[in-house]
Amino acid sequence: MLTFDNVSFAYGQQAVLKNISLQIMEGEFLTIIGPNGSGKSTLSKLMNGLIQPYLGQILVDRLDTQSPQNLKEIRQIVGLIFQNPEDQFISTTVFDEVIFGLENIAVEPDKMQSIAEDALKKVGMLSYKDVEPHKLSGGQKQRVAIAAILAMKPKYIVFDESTAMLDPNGQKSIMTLMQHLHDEGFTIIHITHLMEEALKATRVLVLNGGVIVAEGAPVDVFHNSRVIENNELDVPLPLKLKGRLSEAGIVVPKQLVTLEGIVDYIWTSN
Amino acid sequence: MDIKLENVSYKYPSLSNDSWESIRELNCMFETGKWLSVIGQTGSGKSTLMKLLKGLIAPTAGRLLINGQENKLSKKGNAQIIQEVGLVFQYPEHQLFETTVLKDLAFGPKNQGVKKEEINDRTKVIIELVGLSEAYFDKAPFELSGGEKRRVAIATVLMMNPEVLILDEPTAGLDPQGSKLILQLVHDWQKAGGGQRTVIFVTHQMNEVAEYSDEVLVMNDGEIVFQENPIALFREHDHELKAFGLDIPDSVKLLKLFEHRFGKRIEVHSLQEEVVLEEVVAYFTKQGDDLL
Repeated sequence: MLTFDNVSFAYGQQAVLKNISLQIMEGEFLTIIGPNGSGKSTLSKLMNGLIQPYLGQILVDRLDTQSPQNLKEIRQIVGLIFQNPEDQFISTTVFDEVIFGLENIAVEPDKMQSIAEDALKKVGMLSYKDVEPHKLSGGQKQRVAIAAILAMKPKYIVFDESTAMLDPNGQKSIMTLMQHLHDEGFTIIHITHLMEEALKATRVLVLNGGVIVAEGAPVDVFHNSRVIENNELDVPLPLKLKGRLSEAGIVVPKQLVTLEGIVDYIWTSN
Repeated sequence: MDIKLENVSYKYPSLSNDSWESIRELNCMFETGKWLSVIGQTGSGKSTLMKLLKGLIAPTAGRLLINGQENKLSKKGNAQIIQEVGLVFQYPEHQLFETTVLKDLAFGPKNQGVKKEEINDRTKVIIELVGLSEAYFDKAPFELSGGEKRRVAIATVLMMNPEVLILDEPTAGLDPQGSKLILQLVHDWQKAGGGQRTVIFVTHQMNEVAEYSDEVLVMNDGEIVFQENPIALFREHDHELKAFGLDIPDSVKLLKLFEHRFGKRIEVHSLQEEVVLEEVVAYFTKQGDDLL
């Protein structure tokens, strides 16, 4: 479990997060949304001790992120994927990129090969292992960055707007991969501006002005029009359609959140 | 200002022999007053095309015609910046560098030799147009929010009074309302030009393409594969688009699902979400009884 207990953070005089209390359970798929400057990225960097709170406490499986001796373990347990994969690459081949992290945590050399290959296989990039990272597409680069994290055997993977710079194909491939990883038991924490991506989560958290202003199942959060309007958000089209239909007297079951599901429901219920 | 490309190719200079053509034999027309959206996978040649249209690079083959005239190239065949074309790069707020918003706004026209009074007049109009106010003039760019910075950065380009405005992924990284504001302000700027202002809009977000485009230009592997109106393109060519790694807007997905399930095609005059929602819901309710 990842726990934030009354956490505050500021850059200089500017408070970015105010008294955040939050628990993220193992196996969750948590999506964090909110306007630019709401503190989402700061929250993600606090999760693996990249930055430290000035008030409060963050525990990663009971390890305090403020104890320097815990950081190595915490960064292995909580993997962070950023917006621009190019900022993260340092090696000359895809394979070396994945190996690099393993060397840092002193994995036995004879085990490295198989760990790295397994990780690349999981993200569908094994056949690219000898390719130079700069020759890959954006989505492929992001998948290599994910493989490098997977090789460290994390429990929690934080995606900080990891689809924002990708073309539609890249976006889709990363979303699909995120869901596979969640199905395999990884805890996923996903920060995004794309509302339709947020629908895939088990829980959505809305951050604004450094505080949590709403949280719950995606359907519930998006059905709350006040939350949407007050936080610079938008309602995904399937939920807009449901809203319009219900105004017209056609009620679609709550759990249906895809266009396919809604249109099929109307088709079959008549 | 009409911009026409005739068999335009561009090959990036390279020291090795493996120099490659970024774009190949493009033939297309950017017509005055239209909103053209340009889509294509990363690496399909979109950015190269934008640089050509601004005159930052010159075609290595073919001709670029402005109002029927070939773009004057200097004697060495170097590129010549086209003043009438304004280019908003990706993450343009990284290029704000003055100490105040007002100085950033004035920088471009000042360099073009525009008179002080004229610059003053323009700043007042443009700051309102981007949804801010004169109260922002004395603020330092770093004091602004991400969305505000982006709008100021776009304003600095509008200050130079372009006839053609190119925007390269102008909403990347912005929250949904921030993105909507950008699209709206570009739309307002275009409308205020009385049909003389052209918008060339590069994006990966198909839902944004659905909002305002008159035409969509699809690039794949350095070539233009479609130039069509959005309704025809997304409704008729979704399979081809998929093959190019592209998607269709959510509003078109809804129309297609409806068509597939109910065997009825709904004609729409726009792909805007609001328009499509209204049409579809009307079918489910008013005409729904005969339909079901």
